[in-house]
Amino acid sequence: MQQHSLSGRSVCVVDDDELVRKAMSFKLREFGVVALEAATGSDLLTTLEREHVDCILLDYNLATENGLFVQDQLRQRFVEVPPVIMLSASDNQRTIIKAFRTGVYDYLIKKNLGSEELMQSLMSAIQRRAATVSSKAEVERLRSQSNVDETTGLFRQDAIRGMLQELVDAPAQSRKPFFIIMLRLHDADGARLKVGQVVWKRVVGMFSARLRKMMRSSDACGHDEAGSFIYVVDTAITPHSADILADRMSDGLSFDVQEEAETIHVVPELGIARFPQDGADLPTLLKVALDNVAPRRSPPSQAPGDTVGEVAPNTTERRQFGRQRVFKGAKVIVNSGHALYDCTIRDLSPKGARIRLNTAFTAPDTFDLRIAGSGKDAHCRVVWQRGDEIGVEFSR
Amino acid sequence: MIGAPARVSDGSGAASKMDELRLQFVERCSQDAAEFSAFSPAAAMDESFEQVRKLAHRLAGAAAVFGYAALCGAAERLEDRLASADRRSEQDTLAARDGVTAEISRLLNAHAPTV
Repeated sequence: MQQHSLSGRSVCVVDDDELVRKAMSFKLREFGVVALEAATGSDLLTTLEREHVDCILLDYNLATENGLFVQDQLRQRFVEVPPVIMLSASDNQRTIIKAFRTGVYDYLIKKNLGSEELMQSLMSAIQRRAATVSSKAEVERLRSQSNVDETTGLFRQDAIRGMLQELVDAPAQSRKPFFIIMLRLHDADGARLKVGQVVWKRVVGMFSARLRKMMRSSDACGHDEAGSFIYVVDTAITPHSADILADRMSDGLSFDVQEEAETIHVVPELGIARFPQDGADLPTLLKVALDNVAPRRSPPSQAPGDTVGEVAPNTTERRQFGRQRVFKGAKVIVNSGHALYDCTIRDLSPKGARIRLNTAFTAPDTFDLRIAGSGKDAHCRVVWQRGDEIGVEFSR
Repeated sequence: MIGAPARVSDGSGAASKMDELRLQFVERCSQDAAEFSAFSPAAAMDESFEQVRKLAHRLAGAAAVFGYAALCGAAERLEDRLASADRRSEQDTLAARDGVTAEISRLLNAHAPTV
């Protein structure tokens, strides 16, 4: 008899015919297999709860149920189901195809079934399962070692907090100031309860994707607690720049998600803390950032789109004139009207505006701005340009 | 075959255990034969068709495992016949039934004690 490495493996034979069960089990034991027996699907479930089973030999036609139904029950009951080899006296092609579609590892026809063929099939099924389990374990191990949170693609809480701790604990001579921008999704708990965990996870994933896209390459960001994020800026920027950055994040990270009948308004609330001015240790710093968390634009009303054009509360406004958050179409007119560029006005005050260009170009120092519906052109002087955004001052 | 009949028993425990199971199968076939013979498609109720079909199915499976391919084939034909729409067609169903009983007879003869 050829030696197989099936010795010590456990196989459960499921057949309503006791004689067949015994004959199959007897043959398996000859190959060193630990043979278990079950007469029904219910017996099999009980066996799987009590014993370790490496493979299941399942008869297609049991007395009161068929093997496909049993296989379905297994999937519902257990997370990890041993590989199933279906056995049948029938070689009906439709039955075989159906069986493979339900995920059986192999389909063996009892008639003319040789011991060698049976053992090979068992060996192959067990080896493949072992490879799958091993691969899953490896993925799990790598995942546990990774600093990246699976849902968000951002640093995990312990990683981002560890990074902050290092910045705080740096020796005095190399210690440098940094900012924390704490982001929290407005009414995260309420929204999660309303739409359910699965949808909410998807929303958090979408929010994180936008956040990753907006991130400057020099900054770090991590998923802190449910629905909150820590954004770290440790490059030399002024408080005003941090404020502008927070504004941009607020704008870029506000969006609506349509989930069946529900419109989910995703609006971040932000709070800034500065090291070492706001706290010399991490817990204090995080608390200050959290205490400062507030909306930078009004939380949305129930109807989608209500947020556009609302006056956003801005507790850190430093301009002489308050800005109004708007979403107005406009045209940049250069070269005496020979060239027109479409843009969107995002902030507007009597003295100036922040505009976002639909097509990136380097704006001249001055140009005219035609705001849709206003009926007149405003002459503008460029104060700053960053990427596709331009800050302008109206000169008349 | 999983439980193919050994031509010559080696007298070991393993062979005798399988022989014992095979003998139990043969004995059961003898009882099954009586049920098949008593079955008459023209007069049978629907439940009887189902009962005999299940019997044929069980016989096909066990015969395959014990290595009796011809008996397995005959039992499968009867099972298919009893599941078909024209199962009450006496001639075809009886032919399938008789095919099974003939194979069982052969099996019983092969296992009959010799004097």
